Amino acid sequence: MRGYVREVAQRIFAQEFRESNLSFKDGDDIYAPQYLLTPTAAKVNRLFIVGTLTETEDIGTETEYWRGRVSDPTGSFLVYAGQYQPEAAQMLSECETPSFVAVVGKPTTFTTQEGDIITSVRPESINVVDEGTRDLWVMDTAENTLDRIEVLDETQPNIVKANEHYNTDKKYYVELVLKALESLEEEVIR
Amino acid sequence: MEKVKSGELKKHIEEIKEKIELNDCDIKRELEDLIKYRVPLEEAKKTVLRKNSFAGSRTKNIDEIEPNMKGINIVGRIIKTQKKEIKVNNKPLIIDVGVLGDETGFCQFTCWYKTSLVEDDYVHFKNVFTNKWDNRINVNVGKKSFIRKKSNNQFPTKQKLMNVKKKSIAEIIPDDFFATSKGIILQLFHRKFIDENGTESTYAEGFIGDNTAKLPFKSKIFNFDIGDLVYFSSAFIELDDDLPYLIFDKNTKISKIDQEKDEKLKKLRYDMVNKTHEIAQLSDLVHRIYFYDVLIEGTILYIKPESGFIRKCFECNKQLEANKCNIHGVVENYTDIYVKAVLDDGTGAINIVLDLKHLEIISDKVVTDLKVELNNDCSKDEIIRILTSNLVGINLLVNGNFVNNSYEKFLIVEGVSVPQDQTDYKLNYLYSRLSKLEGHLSDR
Repeated sequence: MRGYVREVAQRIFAQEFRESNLSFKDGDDIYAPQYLLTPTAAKVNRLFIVGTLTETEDIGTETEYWRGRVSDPTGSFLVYAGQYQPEAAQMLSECETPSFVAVVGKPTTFTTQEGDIITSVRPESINVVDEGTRDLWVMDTAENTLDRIEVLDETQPNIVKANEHYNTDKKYYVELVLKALESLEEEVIR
Repeated sequence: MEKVKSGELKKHIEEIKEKIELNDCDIKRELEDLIKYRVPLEEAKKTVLRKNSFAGSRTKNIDEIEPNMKGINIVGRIIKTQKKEIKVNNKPLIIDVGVLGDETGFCQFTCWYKTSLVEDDYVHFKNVFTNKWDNRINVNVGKKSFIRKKSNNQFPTKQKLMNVKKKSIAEIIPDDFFATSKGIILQLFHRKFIDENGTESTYAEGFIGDNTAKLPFKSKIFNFDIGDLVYFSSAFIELDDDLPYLIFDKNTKISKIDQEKDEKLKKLRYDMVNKTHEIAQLSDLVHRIYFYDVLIEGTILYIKPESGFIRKCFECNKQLEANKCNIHGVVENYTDIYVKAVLDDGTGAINIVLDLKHLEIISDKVVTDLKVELNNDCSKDEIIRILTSNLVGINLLVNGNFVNNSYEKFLIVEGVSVPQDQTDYKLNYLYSRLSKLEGHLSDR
């Protein structure tokens, strides 16, 4: 590799993100980046989401800790911002709901006492955008998801890993994409 | 102290000399030094050998060398060489820089002292070390290195080495050093310049391209015109800020191709080649070292903190440093905005640099907001906030030259536009892909 490489921001639908629970490190180094592998084998270190901010709440006890819910055609992402994400936290505290927002952030996972793994997003930035940007995101995400589904039979290590771990049902994700696109069309007709 | 008679020492020196290239004095000094410090003679001999021999090192082919290697030997032919005067610790020093070649490739070399090397010499560089300079591997011939000029008629001549394998324009990379290819002259300017002797002459510069990519070139003598399809061999690849360009010089063979004679070549037409190359996915671009005139689409995801207002020189539009232009000195200047952003399309991420004229195309609101802040003398953080809130999430089509150096991957933006709404087209395209996939799945 030539020099430093910025991690790509993956486009993933909320439903797929919520169903992801396999995180791993690339290499043994303590500075090695952490990734979340999704059922369609997206290797996520950074996410780009555009959706509707539907709820915001300060759930912190001593310091402010904001939780936001960003909804897309398939479900919703949970976004948590505290003192180490001051701009994003401020945005969540000020932003009106509902509004269209673009979120760039890192995936995080949390294991509950029952052993369930919950995914959420630690935002690097949150910005208000327009409806057009949101529609474009849905189409881009649909395209990227299709790109991944189409190569799910190949034998790259991450694809094999995802198939083994999730036993991915392609049809299920094809329907997910369809659902997302149909929602878009309903709006367009309206 | 172990006593060693001088006659005996001489015998040992001779023994060492057989194995390494070091003069008697140096061997004697090093041996005596070690013996003085109570090192047994046999051990001292081994130490001197270890220190000065290239034990474990072997002669490497040029394609085997990497940056930061030490104590290696290289055999090759001097392709280019040039004396340069530099300053080391404020003292002038004359060094030799040039290009060395063997059958496996080429590399740069620097001799840190004056040598009598001339082009076409067949040389052994012994005990040399490597580093990276100008984004290319550089072989350093230092104080502890040796140069042996030899004669070898078996070894390919300079001309033969320079005559590299034919490639398409897109396949040419700076590490090739020389290029053989064909292309159509797409742009051509004649410029005047004054050389070291004060005589005025002209040179031609322009762009040459095929259907894969385009490259700039410079040439002192140039008898071709725009639209001509030319074949060239042994053109040197020079670098300017990590972007390569071709030099057609006395070693280059260049000739016009008669397109009418070849059915295949007839298809290579000026209007088809003279275009901006569209890149569908950034992942196709980021592994490349450079790409001239590409068009890419992506979303702005981040505004880098180094963005802000800058002053530029009226004459050359370059940024002022400490209120002075590097070329024109203290000049009239104007304010511009420097926006360094990350463009990402889900497959790759690169940096782009935008200025005020680009922002005017993207969004009127951001320009208005910035102008208000300019009058208010606002803080840097506030500018970043304005840029972030207005630009992040925006989809952009940008064209320009792409560079991937050791530090970053970035596009020097020429033009920018906001893509038109293609919702219907995109939806249709995605539906057709979906139904294909569904068809596949239900077949099983």
